[in-house]
Amino acid sequence: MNKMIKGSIAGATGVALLMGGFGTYALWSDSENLAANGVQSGELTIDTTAGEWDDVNSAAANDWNGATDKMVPGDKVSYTQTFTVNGEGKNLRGTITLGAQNLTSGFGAGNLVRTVAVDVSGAGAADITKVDDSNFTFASPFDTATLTAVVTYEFKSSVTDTTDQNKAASVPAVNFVIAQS
Amino acid sequence: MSRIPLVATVVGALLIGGATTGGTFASWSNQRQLHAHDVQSGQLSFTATSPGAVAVDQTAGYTADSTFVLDDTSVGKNNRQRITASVAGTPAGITARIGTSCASATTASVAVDTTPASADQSLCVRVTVDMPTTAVSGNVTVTISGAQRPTGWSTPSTMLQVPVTVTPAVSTPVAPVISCGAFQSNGNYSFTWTALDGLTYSVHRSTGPNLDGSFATVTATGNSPYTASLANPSTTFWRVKATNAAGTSGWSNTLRLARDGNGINSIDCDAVTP
Repeated sequence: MNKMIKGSIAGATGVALLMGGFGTYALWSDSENLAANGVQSGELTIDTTAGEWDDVNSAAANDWNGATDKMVPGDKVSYTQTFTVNGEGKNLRGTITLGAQNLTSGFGAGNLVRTVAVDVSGAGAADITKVDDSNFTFASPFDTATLTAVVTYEFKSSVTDTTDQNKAASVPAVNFVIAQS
Repeated sequence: MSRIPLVATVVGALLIGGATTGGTFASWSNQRQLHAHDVQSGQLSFTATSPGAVAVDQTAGYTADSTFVLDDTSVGKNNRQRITASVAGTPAGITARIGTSCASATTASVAVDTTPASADQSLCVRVTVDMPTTAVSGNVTVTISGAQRPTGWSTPSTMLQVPVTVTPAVSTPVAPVISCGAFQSNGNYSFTWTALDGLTYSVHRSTGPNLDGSFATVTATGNSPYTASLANPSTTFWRVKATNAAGTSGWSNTLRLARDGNGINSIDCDAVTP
Protein backbone atom coordinates (compact mmCIF):
# COMPACT_ATOMS: atom_id res chain seq x y z
CA MET A 1 0.00 0.00 0.00
CA ASN A 2 1.49 3.20 -0.89
CA LYS A 3 1.59 6.23 1.29
CA MET A 4 -1.35 7.96 -0.40
CA ILE A 5 -3.73 5.15 0.28
CA LYS A 6 -2.62 4.84 3.86
CA GLY A 7 -3.10 8.54 4.41
CA SER A 8 -6.66 8.45 3.02
CA ILE A 9 -7.64 5.62 5.26
CA ALA A 10 -6.32 7.42 8.29
CA GLY A 11 -8.14 10.58 7.40
CA ALA A 12 -11.47 8.84 6.87
CA THR A 13 -11.13 7.13 10.17
CA GLY A 14 -10.49 10.40 11.92
CA VAL A 15 -13.59 12.04 10.38
CA ALA A 16 -15.76 9.09 11.34
CA LEU A 17 -14.56 9.35 14.90
CA LEU A 18 -15.28 13.03 14.99
CA MET A 19 -18.83 12.53 13.65
CA GLY A 20 -19.57 9.83 16.14
CA GLY A 21 -18.78 12.23 18.95
CA PHE A 22 -21.61 14.91 18.08
CA GLY A 23 -24.23 13.38 20.38
CA THR A 24 -22.27 14.25 23.35
CA TYR A 25 -22.30 18.08 22.76
CA ALA A 26 -25.32 20.58 23.84
CA LEU A 27 -26.20 23.63 21.62
CA TRP A 28 -28.38 26.74 22.51
CA SER A 29 -31.83 27.37 20.91
CA ASP A 30 -35.00 29.48 21.69
CA SER A 31 -38.59 29.99 20.33
CA GLU A 32 -41.77 32.15 20.74
CA ASN A 33 -45.30 31.57 19.37
CA LEU A 34 -46.96 33.84 16.90
CA ALA A 35 -50.13 34.21 18.97
CA ALA A 36 -53.35 32.77 17.61
CA ASN A 37 -55.29 35.54 15.95
CA GLY A 38 -58.20 36.26 13.63
CA VAL A 39 -60.68 38.94 12.60
CA GLN A 40 -64.48 39.07 12.66
CA SER A 41 -66.89 40.87 10.50
CA GLY A 42 -69.85 42.86 11.86
CA GLU A 43 -73.38 42.92 10.48
CA LEU A 44 -75.89 45.22 8.95
CA THR A 45 -79.35 43.72 8.85
CA ILE A 46 -83.00 44.68 8.76
CA ASP A 47 -85.97 42.44 9.48
CA THR A 48 -89.66 43.03 9.75
CA THR A 49 -92.92 41.45 10.80
CA ALA A 50 -96.46 41.52 9.52
CA GLY A 51 -98.23 44.85 9.92
CA GLU A 52 -101.10 45.46 12.32
CA TRP A 53 -104.24 47.55 11.89
CA ASP A 54 -105.91 49.57 14.60
CA ASP A 55 -109.11 51.57 14.89
CA VAL A 56 -107.57 54.69 16.36
CA ASN A 57 -110.86 56.04 17.70
CA SER A 58 -111.51 53.00 19.83
CA ALA A 59 -109.79 52.01 23.03
CA ALA A 60 -109.19 48.45 21.93
CA ALA A 61 -105.91 47.44 20.32
CA ASN A 62 -105.54 46.12 16.81
CA ASP A 63 -109.31 46.11 16.31
CA TRP A 64 -109.44 46.93 12.64
CA ASN A 65 -109.60 44.23 10.01
CA GLY A 66 -107.73 45.61 7.04
CA ALA A 67 -109.21 42.98 4.77
CA THR A 68 -112.89 43.46 5.57
CA ASP A 69 -113.59 46.61 7.56
CA LYS A 70 -114.77 49.68 5.68
CA MET A 71 -114.28 53.30 6.67
CA VAL A 72 -116.96 55.92 7.19
CA PRO A 73 -116.55 59.66 7.71
CA GLY A 74 -114.89 60.31 11.05
CA ASP A 75 -112.92 57.07 11.04
CA LYS A 76 -109.19 57.06 11.66
CA VAL A 77 -107.26 53.85 11.23
CA SER A 78 -103.57 53.09 11.39
CA TYR A 79 -101.28 50.50 9.85
CA THR A 80 -98.17 49.78 11.93
CA GLN A 81 -95.16 47.76 10.88
CA THR A 82 -91.92 47.40 12.83
CA PHE A 83 -88.41 46.88 11.52
CA THR A 84 -85.53 45.57 13.58
CA VAL A 85 -82.12 46.81 12.47
CA ASN A 86 -78.72 45.57 13.59
CA GLY A 87 -75.44 47.30 12.92
CA GLU A 88 -72.10 46.08 14.23
CA GLY A 89 -68.60 46.99 13.06
CA LYS A 90 -66.16 49.50 14.50
CA ASN A 91 -66.18 51.74 11.50
CA LEU A 92 -69.78 51.15 10.46
CA ARG A 93 -71.73 54.13 9.25
CA GLY A 94 -74.61 54.44 6.88
CA THR A 95 -78.22 55.35 6.21
CA ILE A 96 -81.70 53.95 6.59
CA THR A 97 -84.12 55.06 3.92
CA LEU A 98 -87.82 54.47 3.33
CA GLY A 99 -88.76 54.72 -0.30
CA ALA A 100 -91.49 56.98 -1.60
CA GLN A 101 -95.00 55.71 -0.96
CA ASN A 102 -97.25 56.58 -3.83
CA LEU A 103 -100.88 56.53 -2.69
CA THR A 104 -103.43 55.53 -5.28
CA SER A 105 -106.74 56.91 -4.06
CA GLY A 106 -110.27 57.05 -5.37
CA PHE A 107 -111.28 59.44 -2.62
CA GLY A 108 -111.96 63.08 -3.24
CA ALA A 109 -109.15 65.52 -2.66
CA GLY A 110 -108.60 66.15 1.01
CA ASN A 111 -111.27 63.73 2.16
CA LEU A 112 -108.84 60.95 3.04
CA VAL A 113 -105.69 62.17 4.76
CA ARG A 114 -102.69 59.88 5.04
CA THR A 115 -99.72 60.51 7.28
CA VAL A 116 -96.57 58.44 7.67
CA ALA A 117 -94.53 58.58 10.85
CA VAL A 118 -91.37 56.53 11.45
CA ASP A 119 -89.63 56.60 14.78
CA VAL A 120 -86.66 54.76 16.19
CA SER A 121 -86.48 53.15 19.58
CA GLY A 122 -84.53 50.52 21.46
CA ALA A 123 -81.01 50.20 22.85
CA GLY A 124 -79.26 51.60 19.82
CA ALA A 125 -81.68 54.43 19.14
CA ALA A 126 -79.26 57.04 20.48
CA ASP A 127 -76.81 56.19 17.73
CA ILE A 128 -79.31 56.67 14.95
CA THR A 129 -80.23 60.16 13.85
CA LYS A 130 -83.66 60.87 12.39
CA VAL A 131 -83.48 63.27 9.47
CA ASP A 132 -87.16 62.96 8.63
CA ASP A 133 -89.76 60.20 8.53
CA SER A 134 -88.05 58.60 5.55
CA ASN A 135 -84.37 59.12 6.29
CA PHE A 136 -82.10 58.11 9.15
CA THR A 137 -78.32 58.10 9.48
CA PHE A 138 -75.81 56.44 11.76
CA ALA A 139 -72.12 57.22 12.17
CA SER A 140 -71.20 54.39 14.46
CA PRO A 141 -72.29 50.87 15.26
CA PHE A 142 -75.57 50.82 17.10
CA ASP A 143 -76.03 47.18 17.91
CA THR A 144 -79.80 46.92 17.59
CA ALA A 145 -82.74 49.27 17.28
CA THR A 146 -86.37 49.23 16.23
CA LEU A 147 -87.92 51.41 13.59
CA THR A 148 -91.70 51.70 13.82
CA ALA A 149 -93.60 52.91 10.76
CA VAL A 150 -97.15 54.10 11.41
CA VAL A 151 -99.30 54.93 8.41
CA THR A 152 -102.50 56.68 9.48
CA TYR A 153 -105.58 57.18 7.34
CA GLU A 154 -108.21 59.70 8.44
CA PHE A 155 -111.55 59.89 6.63
CA LYS A 156 -112.69 63.42 7.31
CA SER A 157 -115.89 63.76 9.30
CA SER A 158 -116.76 66.81 7.21
CA VAL A 159 -117.63 64.56 4.27
CA THR A 160 -121.39 64.67 3.68
CA ASP A 161 -124.17 63.36 1.47
CA THR A 162 -123.02 60.27 -0.39
CA THR A 163 -119.51 61.51 -1.12
CA ASP A 164 -116.75 58.92 -1.36
CA GLN A 165 -118.84 55.86 -0.61
CA ASN A 166 -117.36 52.54 -1.75
CA LYS A 167 -113.97 53.99 -2.61
CA ALA A 168 -110.49 52.57 -2.09
CA ALA A 169 -106.99 53.87 -1.51
CA SER A 170 -103.86 51.75 -1.61
CA VAL A 171 -100.09 51.90 -1.54
CA PRO A 172 -97.74 49.32 -3.00
CA ALA A 173 -94.95 47.69 -1.06
CA VAL A 174 -92.10 50.10 -0.39
CA ASN A 175 -88.47 49.21 0.38
CA PHE A 176 -86.92 50.12 3.69
CA VAL A 177 -83.16 50.04 2.95
CA ILE A 178 -80.31 50.07 5.40
CA ALA A 179 -76.96 50.69 3.70
CA GLN A 180 -73.36 51.18 4.67
CA SER A 181 -71.74 54.37 3.45
CA MET B 1 -35.49 59.65 -7.07
CA SER B 2 -35.60 56.53 -9.09
CA ARG B 3 -38.65 55.73 -11.18
CA ILE B 4 -39.73 52.61 -9.25
CA PRO B 5 -40.43 54.35 -5.87
CA LEU B 6 -42.30 57.11 -7.71
CA VAL B 7 -44.68 54.67 -9.41
CA ALA B 8 -45.31 52.86 -6.12
CA THR B 9 -46.17 56.13 -4.43
CA VAL B 10 -48.73 57.09 -7.09
CA VAL B 11 -50.43 53.68 -7.04
CA GLY B 12 -50.64 53.78 -3.25
CA ALA B 13 -52.22 57.22 -3.28
CA LEU B 14 -54.87 56.09 -5.74
CA LEU B 15 -55.73 53.08 -3.61
CA ILE B 16 -56.04 55.18 -0.47
CA GLY B 17 -58.20 57.73 -2.24
CA GLY B 18 -60.49 55.01 -3.50
CA ALA B 19 -60.84 53.59 -0.03
CA THR B 20 -61.86 56.89 1.54
CA THR B 21 -64.50 57.70 -1.07
CA GLY B 22 -65.85 54.18 -1.13
CA GLY B 23 -66.43 54.50 -4.79
CA THR B 24 -64.39 51.51 -5.58
CA PHE B 25 -65.48 49.30 -2.69
CA ALA B 26 -68.71 47.36 -2.30
CA SER B 27 -70.51 48.07 0.98
CA TRP B 28 -73.22 46.31 2.88
CA SER B 29 -76.90 46.97 2.39
CA ASN B 30 -80.06 45.16 3.30
CA GLN B 31 -83.75 45.86 2.81
CA ARG B 32 -87.22 44.82 3.81
CA GLN B 33 -90.59 46.03 2.61
CA LEU B 34 -93.23 48.15 4.20
CA HIS B 35 -96.01 45.91 2.99
CA ALA B 36 -98.61 46.94 0.48
CA HIS B 37 -101.92 47.80 2.14
CA ASP B 38 -105.16 49.58 1.43
CA VAL B 39 -108.25 51.09 3.00
CA GLN B 40 -111.80 51.13 1.70
CA SER B 41 -114.88 53.17 2.46
CA GLY B 42 -118.33 51.77 3.14
CA GLN B 43 -121.76 53.22 2.48
CA LEU B 44 -124.85 54.56 4.23
CA SER B 45 -128.09 53.06 3.01
CA PHE B 46 -131.36 51.38 3.93
CA THR B 47 -134.23 49.61 2.27
CA ALA B 48 -137.93 49.81 3.05
CA THR B 49 -140.72 47.45 2.15
CA SER B 50 -143.87 48.77 0.55
CA PRO B 51 -146.59 49.64 3.06
CA GLY B 52 -149.92 47.95 2.58
CA ALA B 53 -153.06 49.76 1.47
CA VAL B 54 -155.60 50.71 4.10
CA ALA B 55 -159.36 51.17 3.99
CA VAL B 56 -161.20 53.47 6.35
CA ASP B 57 -164.85 54.01 6.96
CA GLN B 58 -166.06 57.57 6.58
CA THR B 59 -166.78 57.78 10.24
CA ALA B 60 -165.12 60.18 12.64
CA GLY B 61 -162.38 58.46 14.60
CA TYR B 62 -162.23 55.47 12.31
CA THR B 63 -158.64 54.20 12.09
CA ALA B 64 -156.68 51.75 10.02
CA ASP B 65 -153.01 50.78 10.13
CA SER B 66 -150.32 50.06 7.58
CA THR B 67 -146.88 48.76 8.45
CA PHE B 68 -143.59 48.51 6.63
CA VAL B 69 -140.08 47.37 7.52
CA LEU B 70 -136.77 49.24 7.43
CA ASP B 71 -133.48 47.41 6.93
CA ASP B 72 -130.16 49.17 7.52
CA THR B 73 -128.03 48.05 4.58
CA SER B 74 -125.08 50.27 5.41
CA VAL B 75 -121.51 49.03 5.27
CA GLY B 76 -118.80 50.14 7.67
CA LYS B 77 -117.50 48.95 11.02
CA ASN B 78 -118.37 52.22 12.74
CA ASN B 79 -121.47 53.09 10.74
CA ARG B 80 -124.28 54.49 12.89
CA GLN B 81 -127.43 55.64 11.18
CA ARG B 82 -130.52 57.59 12.21
CA ILE B 83 -133.43 56.89 9.91
CA THR B 84 -136.23 59.45 10.01
CA ALA B 85 -139.67 58.74 8.55
CA SER B 86 -142.33 61.44 8.21
CA VAL B 87 -145.89 61.36 6.97
CA ALA B 88 -147.29 64.15 4.80
CA GLY B 89 -149.66 64.80 1.97
CA THR B 90 -152.62 63.13 3.58
CA PRO B 91 -155.94 63.18 1.75
CA ALA B 92 -158.59 65.68 2.88
CA GLY B 93 -160.29 64.73 6.09
CA ILE B 94 -157.58 62.20 6.99
CA THR B 95 -154.86 62.40 9.61
CA ALA B 96 -151.81 60.15 9.45
CA ARG B 97 -149.36 59.46 12.24
CA ILE B 98 -146.32 57.23 12.40
CA GLY B 99 -144.48 55.30 15.09
CA THR B 100 -142.43 52.25 15.86
CA SER B 101 -145.67 50.52 16.74
CA CYS B 102 -149.25 51.24 15.83
CA ALA B 103 -150.05 52.09 19.42
CA SER B 104 -147.27 54.65 19.50
CA ALA B 105 -148.06 56.15 16.10
CA THR B 106 -149.02 59.56 17.49
CA THR B 107 -146.61 61.94 15.77
CA ALA B 108 -145.93 63.09 12.24
CA SER B 109 -142.40 61.74 12.22
CA VAL B 110 -140.33 59.13 13.96
CA ALA B 111 -136.58 58.49 14.13
CA VAL B 112 -134.89 55.17 14.75
CA ASP B 113 -131.19 54.58 15.35
CA THR B 114 -129.72 51.60 13.57
CA THR B 115 -126.45 49.93 12.64
CA PRO B 116 -125.63 47.51 9.86
CA ALA B 117 -126.01 44.72 12.40
CA SER B 118 -129.37 45.89 13.71
CA ALA B 119 -132.49 43.83 13.40
CA ASP B 120 -135.03 45.10 10.90
CA GLN B 121 -137.20 47.90 12.27
CA SER B 122 -140.96 47.88 11.76
CA LEU B 123 -142.85 51.17 11.47
CA CYS B 124 -146.60 51.73 11.54
CA VAL B 125 -148.66 54.40 9.80
CA ARG B 126 -152.02 54.93 11.49
CA VAL B 127 -154.67 56.64 9.37
CA THR B 128 -157.59 58.30 11.13
CA VAL B 129 -160.73 59.89 9.73
CA ASP B 130 -161.07 63.24 11.44
CA MET B 131 -163.38 65.03 8.99
CA PRO B 132 -166.04 62.51 7.96
CA THR B 133 -167.78 64.80 5.57
CA THR B 134 -164.61 65.61 3.63
CA ALA B 135 -162.66 62.41 3.96
CA VAL B 136 -161.66 61.18 0.52
CA SER B 137 -159.50 58.43 -0.84
CA GLY B 138 -155.89 59.17 -1.72
CA ASN B 139 -152.30 58.47 -0.73
CA VAL B 140 -150.45 59.21 2.46
CA THR B 141 -146.85 60.00 1.59
CA VAL B 142 -144.10 58.68 3.84
CA THR B 143 -140.70 60.32 3.37
CA ILE B 144 -137.70 58.42 4.72
CA SER B 145 -134.07 59.48 4.91
CA GLY B 146 -130.98 58.35 6.77
CA ALA B 147 -128.16 60.31 8.32
CA GLN B 148 -124.89 59.09 9.76
CA ARG B 149 -124.41 59.71 13.45
CA PRO B 150 -122.94 61.94 14.74
CA THR B 151 -121.96 63.55 11.42
CA GLY B 152 -121.10 62.48 7.93
CA TRP B 153 -123.05 60.85 5.19
CA SER B 154 -126.75 61.14 4.46
CA THR B 155 -128.97 59.18 2.13
CA PRO B 156 -131.27 60.47 -0.58
CA SER B 157 -134.92 60.60 0.49
CA THR B 158 -137.15 57.67 -0.26
CA MET B 159 -140.86 58.25 -0.82
CA LEU B 160 -143.43 55.61 -0.03
CA GLN B 161 -147.15 55.81 -0.67
CA VAL B 162 -149.83 54.36 1.57
CA PRO B 163 -153.01 54.05 -0.51
CA VAL B 164 -156.05 55.02 1.58
CA THR B 165 -159.52 54.06 0.44
CA VAL B 166 -162.41 55.82 2.14
CA THR B 167 -165.74 54.04 2.10
CA PRO B 168 -169.01 55.81 2.98
CA ALA B 169 -169.98 55.52 6.56
CA VAL B 170 -172.80 53.13 7.38
CA SER B 171 -175.25 54.66 9.81
CA THR B 172 -178.66 53.74 11.07
CA PRO B 173 -181.19 54.50 8.33
CA VAL B 174 -183.70 57.23 8.79
CA ALA B 175 -187.36 56.32 9.10
CA PRO B 176 -189.05 55.95 5.71
CA VAL B 177 -192.01 58.12 4.77
CA ILE B 178 -194.96 56.10 3.59
CA SER B 179 -197.42 57.48 1.06
CA CYS B 180 -200.75 56.49 -0.42
CA GLY B 181 -200.63 54.67 -3.71
CA ALA B 182 -203.11 53.24 -6.11
CA PHE B 183 -206.07 50.81 -6.34
CA GLN B 184 -205.45 47.44 -7.79
CA SER B 185 -207.98 45.58 -9.91
CA ASN B 186 -208.48 42.79 -7.40
CA GLY B 187 -209.23 45.02 -4.45
CA ASN B 188 -205.67 45.24 -3.29
CA TYR B 189 -203.94 48.49 -2.70
CA SER B 190 -200.34 49.52 -3.43
CA PHE B 191 -198.53 52.11 -1.38
CA THR B 192 -195.00 53.40 -1.49
CA TRP B 193 -192.29 54.73 0.81
CA THR B 194 -189.05 56.53 0.43
CA ALA B 195 -186.40 53.95 -0.19
CA LEU B 196 -182.63 53.67 -0.37
CA ASP B 197 -180.51 50.98 -1.89
CA GLY B 198 -178.93 48.46 0.38
CA LEU B 199 -181.70 48.41 2.91
CA THR B 200 -184.29 45.88 3.83
CA TYR B 201 -187.75 46.91 5.00
CA SER B 202 -190.26 45.56 7.41
CA VAL B 203 -193.91 46.27 6.69
CA HIS B 204 -196.18 46.21 9.69
CA ARG B 205 -199.92 45.81 9.63
CA SER B 206 -202.22 46.22 12.59
CA THR B 207 -205.88 46.65 13.21
CA GLY B 208 -205.36 49.55 15.62
CA PRO B 209 -203.77 52.93 14.95
CA ASN B 210 -201.16 52.52 17.68
CA LEU B 211 -199.71 49.14 16.87
CA ASP B 212 -202.50 47.63 18.84
CA GLY B 213 -204.95 44.95 17.83
CA SER B 214 -203.85 42.09 15.71
CA PHE B 215 -200.79 42.69 13.60
CA ALA B 216 -198.26 41.04 11.39
CA THR B 217 -194.88 41.94 10.09
CA VAL B 218 -193.56 40.93 6.71
CA THR B 219 -190.18 41.61 5.22
CA ALA B 220 -190.00 43.30 1.90
CA THR B 221 -186.87 42.31 0.19
CA GLY B 222 -187.28 44.89 -2.47
CA ASN B 223 -188.30 48.47 -2.36
CA SER B 224 -191.79 49.95 -2.61
CA PRO B 225 -194.45 49.81 -3.98
CA TYR B 226 -195.89 47.28 -1.64
CA THR B 227 -199.21 45.68 -2.43
CA ALA B 228 -201.51 45.25 0.52
CA SER B 229 -204.25 42.67 0.38
CA LEU B 230 -207.35 44.08 2.07
CA ALA B 231 -210.38 42.24 3.34
CA ASN B 232 -213.71 43.80 2.53
CA PRO B 233 -214.76 45.47 4.66
CA SER B 234 -211.69 46.20 6.79
CA THR B 235 -209.66 48.97 8.28
CA THR B 236 -205.92 48.40 8.74
CA PHE B 237 -202.95 50.52 9.62
CA TRP B 238 -199.61 50.17 7.84
CA ARG B 239 -196.13 51.27 8.73
CA VAL B 240 -192.60 50.56 7.51
CA LYS B 241 -189.14 50.57 9.02
CA ALA B 242 -185.73 50.14 7.34
CA THR B 243 -182.75 48.04 8.40
CA ASN B 244 -179.07 48.04 7.41
CA ALA B 245 -175.80 46.83 8.95
CA ALA B 246 -175.80 49.72 11.39
CA GLY B 247 -179.24 49.11 12.75
CA THR B 248 -182.96 49.69 12.23
CA SER B 249 -184.77 52.96 11.70
CA GLY B 250 -187.75 54.14 13.58
CA TRP B 251 -191.23 53.53 12.21
CA SER B 252 -192.49 55.52 9.31
CA ASN B 253 -195.68 57.46 9.46
CA THR B 254 -198.86 55.35 9.34
CA LEU B 255 -201.30 54.76 6.52
CA ARG B 256 -204.90 53.92 7.27
CA LEU B 257 -206.49 51.79 4.57
CA ALA B 258 -210.24 51.38 4.91
CA ARG B 259 -212.40 49.27 2.63
CA ASP B 260 -216.10 49.95 3.08
CA GLY B 261 -217.59 46.72 1.69
CA ASN B 262 -218.51 48.17 -1.61
CA GLY B 263 -216.66 47.84 -4.87
CA ILE B 264 -213.07 47.19 -5.24
CA ASN B 265 -212.32 50.86 -5.60
CA SER B 266 -213.98 51.87 -2.36
CA ILE B 267 -210.76 52.23 -0.40
CA ASP B 268 -209.80 55.23 1.61
CA CYS B 269 -206.14 55.97 2.28
CA ASP B 270 -205.11 58.44 4.90
CA ALA B 271 -201.72 59.34 6.25
CA VAL B 272 -201.97 59.19 9.98
CA THR B 273 -199.55 60.94 12.21
CA PRO B 274 -198.34 58.49 14.83
